Amino acid sequence: MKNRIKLSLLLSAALFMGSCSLNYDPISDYSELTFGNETGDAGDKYQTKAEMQQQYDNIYKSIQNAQESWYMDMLVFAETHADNAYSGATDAELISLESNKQDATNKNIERDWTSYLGYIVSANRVICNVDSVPDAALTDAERKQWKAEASIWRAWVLFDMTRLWGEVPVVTQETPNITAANVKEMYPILFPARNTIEDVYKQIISDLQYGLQYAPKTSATDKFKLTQSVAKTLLAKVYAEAPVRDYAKVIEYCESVKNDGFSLVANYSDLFSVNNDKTDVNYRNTSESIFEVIYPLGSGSWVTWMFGIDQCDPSSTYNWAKWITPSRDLIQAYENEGDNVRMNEAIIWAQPSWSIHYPSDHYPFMYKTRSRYNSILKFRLADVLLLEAEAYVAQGNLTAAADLVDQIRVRAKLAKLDASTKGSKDNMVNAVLKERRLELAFEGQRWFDLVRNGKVLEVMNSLNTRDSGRKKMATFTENSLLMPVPQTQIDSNPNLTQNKGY
Amino acid sequence: MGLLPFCICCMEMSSEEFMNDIKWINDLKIRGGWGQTGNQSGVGDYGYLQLRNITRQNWWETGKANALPITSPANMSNSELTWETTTQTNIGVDFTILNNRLTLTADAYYKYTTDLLMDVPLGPTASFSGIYRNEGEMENKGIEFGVNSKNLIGNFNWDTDFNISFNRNKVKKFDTRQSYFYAQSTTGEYITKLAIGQPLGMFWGYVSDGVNPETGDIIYRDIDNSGSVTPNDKTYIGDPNPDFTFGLTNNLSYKGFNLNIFFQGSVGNDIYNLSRMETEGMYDAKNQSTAVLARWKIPGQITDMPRAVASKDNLKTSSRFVEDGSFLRLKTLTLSYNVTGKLLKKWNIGRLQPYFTAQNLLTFTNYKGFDPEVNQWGGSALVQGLDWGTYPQTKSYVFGVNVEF
Repeated sequence: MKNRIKLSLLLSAALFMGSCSLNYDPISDYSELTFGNETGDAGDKYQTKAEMQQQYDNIYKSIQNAQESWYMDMLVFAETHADNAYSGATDAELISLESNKQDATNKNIERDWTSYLGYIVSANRVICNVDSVPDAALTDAERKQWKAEASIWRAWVLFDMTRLWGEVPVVTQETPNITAANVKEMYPILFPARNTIEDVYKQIISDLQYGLQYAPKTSATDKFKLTQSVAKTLLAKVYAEAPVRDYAKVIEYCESVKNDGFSLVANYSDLFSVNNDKTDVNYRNTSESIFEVIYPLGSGSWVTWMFGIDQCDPSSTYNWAKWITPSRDLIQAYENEGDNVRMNEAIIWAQPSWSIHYPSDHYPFMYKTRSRYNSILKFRLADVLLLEAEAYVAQGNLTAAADLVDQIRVRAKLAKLDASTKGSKDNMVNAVLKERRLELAFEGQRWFDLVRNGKVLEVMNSLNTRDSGRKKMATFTENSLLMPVPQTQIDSNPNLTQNKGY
Repeated sequence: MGLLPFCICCMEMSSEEFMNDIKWINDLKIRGGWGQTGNQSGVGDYGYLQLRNITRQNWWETGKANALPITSPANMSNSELTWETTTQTNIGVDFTILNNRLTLTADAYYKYTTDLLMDVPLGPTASFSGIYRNEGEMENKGIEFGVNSKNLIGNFNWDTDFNISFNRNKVKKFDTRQSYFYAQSTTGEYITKLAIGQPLGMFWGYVSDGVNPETGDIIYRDIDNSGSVTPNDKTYIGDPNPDFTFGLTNNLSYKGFNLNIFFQGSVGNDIYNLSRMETEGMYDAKNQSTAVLARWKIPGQITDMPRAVASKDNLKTSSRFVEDGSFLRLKTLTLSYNVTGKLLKKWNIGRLQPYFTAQNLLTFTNYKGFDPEVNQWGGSALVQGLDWGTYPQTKSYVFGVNVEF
């Protein structure tokens, strides 16, 4: 064949050489180049005190913004998922939690899992970086204090997580840079497995011990602070839990909290009430409050309209189904006790347009966080006193326990415990548990009280026979004590495992 | 630094001496090419650097009158970040016969993409939500055929264009994670799974075996025979990638009249109909479609619509909502007429053409939703074929006049 083939050939190359004049790193923008390091070491991520302070302030901002996951959803776990409340609204997520049919695809459980882990990340930002800020304006004492507050926050979140899910991943470092060379070693750091419950508690206790050492003392004018007293309260609660149970320590830390100058307010309603003009709450930072999330006047919180009307907003109405509807069983418990003082602070009756759980002409709503200006009460002295009573009962010191319970009952205008109750350990276990229920209803305690006292199966499996308005619940078993790990999280992190029964 | 070479060859067989005697072939051309192209879409400016967020301080607060803005890390650094490279090899034939009345083309290609750019989500325990990485490799291969035929020429003109494409893609490698999930449905489950050895956009879920006549609930298949239905029973339940797509254009003209008919179609693509989860879900208080009238009501009832229950158990991501999205659509139809006459010249009008155009006039499909040609997640290549109340393509009729002076 003659060479008549017409062949068109085109070869081209686009070359970007190292010497090309366009190949410069940008120095006009704020980036790692202009902030000194290229390795991504924790070292100089934050150069000035103000930069570190922003991360420190972010912890408190994120607590204020945690209304959904760390307050409202906590109430669903603690009240709706226990015997104090119904779902209120008809969302399938809520109804499944009310009837103990929650599964791994529950979107509320998923958002809480991811939010809580996110809070730990924000605590780690402070803990991991505060020591290496080169700015001398940040004093050694401040560094320790910030780290202590962040440690308390990390411990608190881990404590809530392990009570909900059991084993959880404990991540105490920031994410290192990922390169082609280290991607394999990074894998367990990027996609951590769940630590054993024992390890989780080890971390919690060590964080709280650090917090106890360096956190600020409590201030009478600002209870929205992660103080030594908060660390002590948490330690008392931690040592009451089965995996690390030590009642002597519970009593020791409760006593220590009491010695920090807290006292019960004289009127129970002072903890929750709004003023006559309905422009603000009557009191915040009360002598009883150990930790409360304070919202600024003006904006306030949004979460209050999830439970009822906002008492500080005259235009507020019962416009759609509210969450955490008080259960018949709880109302019965108040009535059996003749406890009007606390029932009237916990429950308000109204006439909404719906009748999901009650007739619409007489419908109860949660009343404790009743306005946008109400602080979210997380820890208060009454909780600590009753926890101490629980520990004394377990130790057999029924008199000491009854004295503590009586303090709470007298404030609620109720008679002191009678002799037959005081005389029996079993009766006292139930008396303390009931007192906690009535005193702390809708404050996010009930479910955890039942679990801690080993009462879930006994109380919850008989609930359908006691409470006619309760949805038919799935039978509680040992597996019901923990929530499912969200399936989306297992999907994206194969190192995670699911809890038994889900 | 990067180097992106390419090379194209083209051989005109019909110009060869040995083909001079073959008169019925007007043109025969063989084309071949190899090349590399780069792509950096999706990565922001300076994506390889850890940039800083800038926050102004509240100058009105005590002691902050002269405070400088403060910064904090905004994302993860990745000094190795580079563009993704696609290496493509293709070979094609152009073949024209019958006095240039019929042209056939055929093309085959193989594309291999390396350094695939992805935003790798790192999960809630990481300091940042994700990192841009050159994360994987992917292949695309396909063949395309085209026919261009001048069926009738003369006073009455009739041209037909037809093309058909077959494409297959497959993920070949991932670095950091072995699989990715996208597109959360109303149950909180992900629908789309991206994994090694699979095409993009595959649907992942349970196999639905219909409604249990005793309970009225959907029976999900226990694939791993564990005795209960768990997430381990999920499998690939649908592929949004079509087996093939095609287009057919007919152009007819007679005197001043011109009729253009364009059909478009896709065969073998699945759609996950999330809209039906809402209109047939019966899981909360909202209006439902009439399809739920057939719902299960008493034990023993045989139906394909489960009972009404305030739970999402019957809505788990499953083959229940996977539908065949194949369609044939009359995409555009245009009829126009060229007005001619002396008056036009007198008024200096170069062209006067009244026309009528209809778009999306007819659709032939078994798909139950509004429109088989939708994607809730926009143009994403990773998430395709999801319909969740997605606004359908509109049917439009346009009457108009083209005038040129």
